Amino acid sequence: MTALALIGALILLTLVGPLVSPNGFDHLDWSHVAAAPGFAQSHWFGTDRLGRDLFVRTLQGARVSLAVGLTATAISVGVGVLYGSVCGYFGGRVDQIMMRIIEILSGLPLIFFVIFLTVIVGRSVFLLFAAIGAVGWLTMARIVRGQTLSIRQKEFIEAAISSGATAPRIIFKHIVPNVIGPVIVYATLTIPQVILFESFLSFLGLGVQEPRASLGTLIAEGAAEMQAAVWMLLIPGALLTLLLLCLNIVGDGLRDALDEPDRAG
Amino acid sequence: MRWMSLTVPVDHAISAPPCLQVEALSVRFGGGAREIAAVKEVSLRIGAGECLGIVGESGSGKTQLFTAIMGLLPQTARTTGSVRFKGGEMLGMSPTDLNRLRGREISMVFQDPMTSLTPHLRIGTQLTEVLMLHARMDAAAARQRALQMLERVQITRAGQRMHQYPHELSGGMRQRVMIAMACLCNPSLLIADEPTTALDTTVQAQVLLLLQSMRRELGTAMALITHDFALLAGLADHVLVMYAGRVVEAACAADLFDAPLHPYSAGLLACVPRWSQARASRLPSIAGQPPDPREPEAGCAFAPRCTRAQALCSQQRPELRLHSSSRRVACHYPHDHG
Amino acid sequence: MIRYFASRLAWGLPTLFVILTVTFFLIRIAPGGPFDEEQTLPAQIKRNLDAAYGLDQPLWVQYGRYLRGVAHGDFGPSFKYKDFTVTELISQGLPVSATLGSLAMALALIIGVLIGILAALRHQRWGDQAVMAAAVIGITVPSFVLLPFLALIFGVYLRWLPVAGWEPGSARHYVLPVIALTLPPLAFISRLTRASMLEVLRSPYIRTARAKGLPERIILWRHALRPALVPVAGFLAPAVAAIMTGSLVVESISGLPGIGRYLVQGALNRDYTLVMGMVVVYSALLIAMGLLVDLLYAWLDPRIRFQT
Repeated sequence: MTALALIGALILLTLVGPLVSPNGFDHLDWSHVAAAPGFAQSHWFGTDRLGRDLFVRTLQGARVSLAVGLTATAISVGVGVLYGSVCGYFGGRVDQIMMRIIEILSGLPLIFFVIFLTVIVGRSVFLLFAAIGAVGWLTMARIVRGQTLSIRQKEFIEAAISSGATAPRIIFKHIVPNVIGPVIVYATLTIPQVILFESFLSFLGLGVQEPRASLGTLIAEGAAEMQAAVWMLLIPGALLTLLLLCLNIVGDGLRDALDEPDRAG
Repeated sequence: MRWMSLTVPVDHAISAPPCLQVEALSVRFGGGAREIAAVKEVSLRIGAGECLGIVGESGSGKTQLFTAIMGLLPQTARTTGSVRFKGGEMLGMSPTDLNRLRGREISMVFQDPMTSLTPHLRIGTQLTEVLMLHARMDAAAARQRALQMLERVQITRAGQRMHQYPHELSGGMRQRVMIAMACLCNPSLLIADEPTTALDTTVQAQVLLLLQSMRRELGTAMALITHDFALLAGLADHVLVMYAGRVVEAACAADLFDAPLHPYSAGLLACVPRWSQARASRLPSIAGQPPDPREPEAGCAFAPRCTRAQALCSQQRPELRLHSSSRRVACHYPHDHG
Repeated sequence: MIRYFASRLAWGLPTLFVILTVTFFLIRIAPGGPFDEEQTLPAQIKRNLDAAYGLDQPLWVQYGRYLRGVAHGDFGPSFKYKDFTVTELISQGLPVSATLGSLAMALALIIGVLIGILAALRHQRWGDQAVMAAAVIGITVPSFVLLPFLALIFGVYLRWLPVAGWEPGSARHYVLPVIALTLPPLAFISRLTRASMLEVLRSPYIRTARAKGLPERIILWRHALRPALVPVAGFLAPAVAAIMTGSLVVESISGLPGIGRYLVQGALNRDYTLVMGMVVVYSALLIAMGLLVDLLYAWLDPRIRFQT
């Protein structure tokens, strides 16, 4: 519960924070270069080497991270649910071939593949979304397939088939609504993974590009300056860790809550 | 089933010195308002070489009772009372001393042979480790003895079985292995907890016969825990009937089978199918459910399901008291067979 | 057992081949060549460069040559480190990365399992709860936050260890990178071990072992440990992947000259052949580790050996 409240507070902060601060995210304040945090001036989290305000940049970065996390998760949910429900619904040969594809794909070292893609296509935020979405949907598809297989045995599917409903209709009207629970749980657990992945790529310089910031690029800058300006590392690092921690705790909590009826029954 | 055809063994309990003596044993889990009393003030006595049957529905506390006696309950359980094995107090014994008894003097066969053997260890290893520990045998001698014991419980190709893993054996075979394992050190007391429940009917009979012959041969005392009266016939000398954590009737087997005093015992006996019954007639069963162990006790725990219950039954709990020379019953209105 | 191994192997090789093929053709399909960014290059020199690297030949000829090269351990010349072949760069970097990775893996496994067992044995006492709370944080903190933080404390403030950099044969430079790489999987493994050990200790066969009068020591090591490790073995493949991934940032931050750093540099420089070679090497490593993990699995649980 505390974790959930903290996430809400963080999201609110990333939305409202930059509006409250008098500084822009790419405004260079040459009178305060690499200034320490404090409330004496308007740079509450200090500034970086170029005099950009870290309060705004950190929140902006967190906003980017959250946006990437949510969007990429949404993509992976969409693809995974569709793929998995089709697998589970049709079964047989279709299922076999589609699951083989998943097996081969999950054998691939996807992070290296994404890095490889950045070399070919060049670095873009769009690629980032696509690549991360591509990583997430495999597990999602597996989970949905398993659920679909068991739901398919239920009477109401038989009833729908015998009343002449088409396959797409059955999948969207009857199967998808019934796998929502596990999908939500897994999606919450995917968001922190995605955020971690994004900051990881950005940290390496392969993700979000200047002058935009994400938590990953800020940590990279901070790590480079840590001997002179500790706060440049600590603030985005702490924020990222806090965000991941809260998301993981919420995801775990949701999973346990959903598992409980099974155990009791 | 078979019990009608077998002769009832003679009662020799009075002459035999006690092997296990349990006094007012209680087992409680949890604390405060959520406390659950699984076993309540149970006393029992098993003479040397004697077989005691313990009967009750699942949840009656019969398994918890013997798990407590063996000191196998989780740390969250609180056990009070007294458990004397050959005169020595077992409750509160140090783990080292307890381990000197377990597997050597007292051994136990569990209900589910499918999960009661360690899956990644060969049958041979699981057998010989007992001997190497308790009898201080070397590996070769232990192997020899384990082989003998496997043959003794009628396991074919015993030498080959020693090298196999539990999952390669059938359920009946595994239960034989469990029995062989329990008998390796010639224990004075063998506790068999529903040893046949998880097995096919044909295999059940074989396992029971095996237990019986092992007992005769080794002179081992036995506690046979079951929910099925029929199994006890021909095996048990004495029988305890348990309900909701308490002993409701204790008698020698013959008396109990002939004339159950407690309505619950009578009900259980009526559940045993017999050839004499018309085939079409429904099997009798006891209506209702055992009480929730979290509910406080008021009156007789069986009263809500009892056909003989009267006003007194739901107000005052009947004590277990002497009914006739060797029988005890906890009931205000026992069956009268006079 | 051999059949089991063969069936696993039969999965790995095609996967590797697919990776090789896909990476090769993706690069050729992609717009632009490796020398595009050097805009001042006259057309003739660019043609000569293309000819020198064989880029002017038909695609399938290039593909065939590349495959042949890889089979002989030759990944072609690096486009950016002009004096080196990719194979030379890999053989330089691999020992460093292998040392780093295997140390991290071994430490994470040994310490993680030990902590997990201890926590399970002290179940619901404060030691258990403290360790598990720490583990949640350990799992969460990314290595690229952890390493600079460690470098700050032990390098900058305490001056016990070098902040970054590398000298041949120096163990001190490995300490912080190894710790940063070890902690996340260590935390996860300890949680996993604790959970599965608790479950195993409640299982019927452990009750049987207790009823046999076996001392706790034997019950733990002989009867409980192996089944409790099965979920841990299941995590090994992801752990290897996580450590490899982590080594990219850790090598980049600490300046250890491993293949991870080359991969990142290659990606930033758009050095096609280098990145391609690295991806192939990493994939091969991952697949090989996957095979090892499968074997370990089969040892832990005899039931798996008899399935194919």
